[in-house]
Amino acid sequence: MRGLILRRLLVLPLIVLAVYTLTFILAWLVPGNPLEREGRRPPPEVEAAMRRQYHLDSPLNFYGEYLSRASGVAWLTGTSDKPFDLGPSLGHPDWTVNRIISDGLPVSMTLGAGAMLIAVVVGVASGVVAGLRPGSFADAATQVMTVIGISLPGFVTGSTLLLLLAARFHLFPFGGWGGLSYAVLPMVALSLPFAAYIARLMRFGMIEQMQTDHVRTALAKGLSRRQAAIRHAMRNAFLPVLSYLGPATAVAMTGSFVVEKVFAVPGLGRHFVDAVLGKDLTLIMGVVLVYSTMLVLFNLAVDVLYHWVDPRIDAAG
Amino acid sequence: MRVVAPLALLLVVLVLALSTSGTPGNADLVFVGPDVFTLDPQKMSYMQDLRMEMALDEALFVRDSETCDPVPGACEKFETSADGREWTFHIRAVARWSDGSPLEAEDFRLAWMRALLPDTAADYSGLFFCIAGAREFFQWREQALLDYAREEQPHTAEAAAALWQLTLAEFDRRVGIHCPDAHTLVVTLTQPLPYLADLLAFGVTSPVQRVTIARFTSIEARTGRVETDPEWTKPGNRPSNGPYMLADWRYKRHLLLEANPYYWNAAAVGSQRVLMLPFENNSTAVLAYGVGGIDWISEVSVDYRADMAAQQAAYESRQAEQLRAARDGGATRTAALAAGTEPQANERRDLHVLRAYGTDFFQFNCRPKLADGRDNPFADARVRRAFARAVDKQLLVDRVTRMHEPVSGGLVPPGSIAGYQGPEGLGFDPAAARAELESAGWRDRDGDGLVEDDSGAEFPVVDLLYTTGAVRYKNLALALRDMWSKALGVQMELRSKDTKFFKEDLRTGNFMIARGGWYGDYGDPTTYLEFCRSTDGNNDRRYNCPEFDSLLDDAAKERDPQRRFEMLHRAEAMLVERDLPLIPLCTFVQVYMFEPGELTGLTEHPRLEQYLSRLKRQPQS
Repeated sequence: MRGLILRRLLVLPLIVLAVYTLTFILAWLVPGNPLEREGRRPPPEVEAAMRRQYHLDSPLNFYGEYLSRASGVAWLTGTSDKPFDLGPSLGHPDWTVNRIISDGLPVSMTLGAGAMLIAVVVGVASGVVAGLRPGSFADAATQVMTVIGISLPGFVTGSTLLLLLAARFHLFPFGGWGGLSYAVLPMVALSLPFAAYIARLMRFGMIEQMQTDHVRTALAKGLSRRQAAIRHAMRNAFLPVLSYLGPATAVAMTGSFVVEKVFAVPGLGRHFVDAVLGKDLTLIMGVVLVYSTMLVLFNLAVDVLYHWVDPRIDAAG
Repeated sequence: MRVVAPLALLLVVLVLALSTSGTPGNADLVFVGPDVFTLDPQKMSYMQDLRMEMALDEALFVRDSETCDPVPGACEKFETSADGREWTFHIRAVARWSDGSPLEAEDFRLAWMRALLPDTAADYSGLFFCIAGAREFFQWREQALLDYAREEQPHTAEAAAALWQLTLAEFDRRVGIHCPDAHTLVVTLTQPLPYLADLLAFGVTSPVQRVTIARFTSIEARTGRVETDPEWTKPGNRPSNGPYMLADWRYKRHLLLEANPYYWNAAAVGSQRVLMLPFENNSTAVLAYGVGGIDWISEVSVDYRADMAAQQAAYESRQAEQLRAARDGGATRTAALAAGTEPQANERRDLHVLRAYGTDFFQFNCRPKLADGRDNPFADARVRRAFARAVDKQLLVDRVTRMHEPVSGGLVPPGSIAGYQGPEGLGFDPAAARAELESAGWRDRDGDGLVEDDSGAEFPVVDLLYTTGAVRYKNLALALRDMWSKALGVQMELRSKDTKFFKEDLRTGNFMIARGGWYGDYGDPTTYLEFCRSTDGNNDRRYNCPEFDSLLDDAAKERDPQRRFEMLHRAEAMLVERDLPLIPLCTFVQVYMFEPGELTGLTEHPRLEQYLSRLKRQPQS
C-alpha cells in the first residue's frame, strides 16, 4: 500500500508534465491572438510591446518561462519571489491565475462534492430498491428516472429547476453564489446524471449479488432478504460504483461548465471554458496543471479506498 | 457500512464551506452587466470597464446627461492658448482621494505617463499620441527596453533602476505634460484638437494616486520593465477620486461600490451602495429580473429579445396617445411610460431599445489580390457600389434582426455629434446596382442568370465571412446572400468562423465580404473616419485612398469648426457614397431592461454614457 502511494506520487510530476506539454502545443497552435479584444486593435508598436510583455513572442520562451514559474523552479533559483506563480491572466489583466483558481476552485469543489453526495445517496438507495425487486413498479420507475437523468443535458434540467423552483415558486434564490440556499439547485442539477449512472450500476450489482452462492447461503441460514441484502450483497454491489466514483468526482469537482453557467455560479469550470474560448494561455495552462494534479490524486484516493472497502483487493497490483 | 463515515464527514465540510461564502449584503442599486475586465484606468477598453471607471474616478471632464457635452469634473476651469495647442487645466482645490489625501495635477501626469509606457501595454496608448512628444517617447522607451534586453552585461537591479531614471528624464524632456504647481496641469498638443475636452472625459485619462502606484510598482531587473502588481486594483488598495470607492470585487461574482465620503460633489450621488452582478447567461439575468431584486439589466442579449421588443411596441402603440401627450408636456420617455396604465397580457414596458454610439456594417476586401492570389473583383469601387445598392436595409432590420434598428447610410450615427450632419449614403436601388455592375464589365452574357466578364468568365463565387455564435450575423449573412444573388446574379458562399479566427482572416485579407461594426470613442466624426485611413491598424479592408487620407489631414489642421465638419462630411461621403469600402447597415441598438418610474438617471443620449452615480431607485408607491 505504501509502495503504491509512493510510486504514484513519483509518477505524478511526469504525468502532469506530459499533460502540460500536450495542452500547450494544442493551445499554442490555435490561431488567434490572446491579447486581442473585441472591436479594435492597438497600434503595431503597442501590440509588439504587449506580446513581449507576456512572452508571447516565441512558444519556447513562453513554455519554459511559464513552467519554471509555475513549478516553483524560478522561485528556488531566486528569479521569482512567488513559489507557484501561474502568472497574470492574459484575458483578465487584473487577476492572477492563482487568484482566479483559488477563488473558483473551492466553489466548483463544493458544488461537485455536494452533487456527488446527493448522487451517491439517491443513486445507491434507488439502485438497491430497484435491484431487489427487478420488474416491480419501483424498478420501472427507477429505470425511467435513470434514462431521463442520463440523457437530459444539464442546461435543460438546470433551466427547468430554475423556472419551476426559483422563478415560479420562489423556493430558492435565482442564480449567484453565497450560502446553502444558492447551492441547492445547482447541486441537484449537477447530481442528476451521476445519480442515474450510480443507480444503474447499483441495480445491476444487486441483481447479480442476490443470486450468488454466499447470499443464497445467508438466506438459507434464515436471514431475511433485507438483512442479507444489506450485510452481504450491498458491499460487493458497491464496488463498481466505487471505481466509477473516482473519475466521476473529479469531473464533478473540476466544474461543470453548463451548470455553472446556467446558475451563474462563479466556479472554475466556467472560467476554464471562457479561457479556452478567449485563448487565455496562462489561465488555460494554470487550470490544466491544477486539474491534472487533482485527477491523479483522485484516482490514487479511489485505489486506496478500494483496498479499504475490500482488503482482498491488491490495489498495488 | 464503511462508506457512511466519509460521506457524513463530507456533508459537514460542505455545510461549513457554504456557510462561510459571503454575500455582498444589501445595496441601494443592483444591476446586471458584463463583468469588468480591469479596474486599472489606463488599461481599459471595454464599455463596462469605462462605466465602472467613471463611477470610481473623476476625469478632468464629465459628460452632461442631456447633451453629452463635456463639463468640468476634476478640473474647475481651463484655458486654451491662441494657437489652440496649449491647454491649461486648474484642478479643483477641494477634490480629494477616497483616503482623504488631496488630488493633484501630478496624479494626472503620472496616469498619462503610464498610458504612454509600453510596459503598461495599454490599448489606448494611441489616444495620447496627440500630445506633443508622446509618440516619440513611447517609441524611445520601446527601443530602450529592446536595447536593454539585448545588452551583454548582467541585468542587475541597479541597471534597471538607472534605465528607469533615464526614462523619467526623457519623459520630462520630450512630452508636453507639465505641472507648474500642485493644481495646474499644462498640456501641449502636436496640433489643435477641438474635441480635446471630450477626450478628457474618457475614463482612460482618469488620474491615479501616486503613492499607491509607487507602492505596487516594481522594476524587473531582467527586462528593465516597470510592472504594477494587479493587486493594486483590489478593494482596500485602490483609492478613487470620484463618486464611489471599491468596496468588494470578486472575479465574475460581484462588484460592490460604496459612496466616497471625500468626493467633492458627494451630495449629488444618487445611490450609496451599488452592486453589479455579472450574470454570464443573459437568460438567467432576465429571469432573475422577473423574480425581483434587480433594478437594471444593462444589456439584454437573449435570443428572444426581439419578441420582448414586440411586446414593448404593442404596449407603446396601445398607449400612443397618452405617451405623446405626456411627452408634449415635457416628460421624458421613461416618465411618460411610467405614467401609463399597467401593461396587459403580452405587453410590457420595461424593455428599452435605445440607439447606441455604433454602426453595424459589412465590409469589402479592397486589396487588389485575394489571399489565394486570384484577382479581387471587389478592388473595383463600381462592384462595391453595386453590392451596396442591392441591399434592402429596412427589410433587414424589420424582418431579419427584427430589432427595427434605425437604418443608416453613413458611418457616424445620426444625431450623435452636435453640429455634424453626415452624408445620406447610397439607397436601395436594384436597377442602379445592376447598372453599376455592368459598367464594371459584369453582365449576364449567356442568359444563365449569372454575370460574366467580357471573356465569358463568371463572377467569382463571393466568399461572405461572419462570426459563429451570433445569431444576428448568421441571419444577416443568409439574407444578404439572397439579396445579392437575386439582384446581381452572383453566386455566394457563406463561411462562419469563431471570433479569434475571424480576426485572423480579416487581418490576412482572407475574405471578400465580412461582417463589421464600430463603436465610437469620443464625440467627433474622426472617431469613425480614422479607422478607414490607409495606415490605420484597424483598416482590415485595406482601403487605400490618398485623397481621403489627405482630407483627414487637412481637416485636422482646420481651425474653423464649421469648415472642419464640412471637410469631414466630404471625407465620410467619399466612404459611403463613392468608394464604399464598407456598407453601413444600421445604428446599433442597446437593449436595457428596467421598470420605468422605478429607476431614474439613465441618459438616453445616443452615446449612452451612463454615470452610475446619477442612477437612483425610486420608492414604489
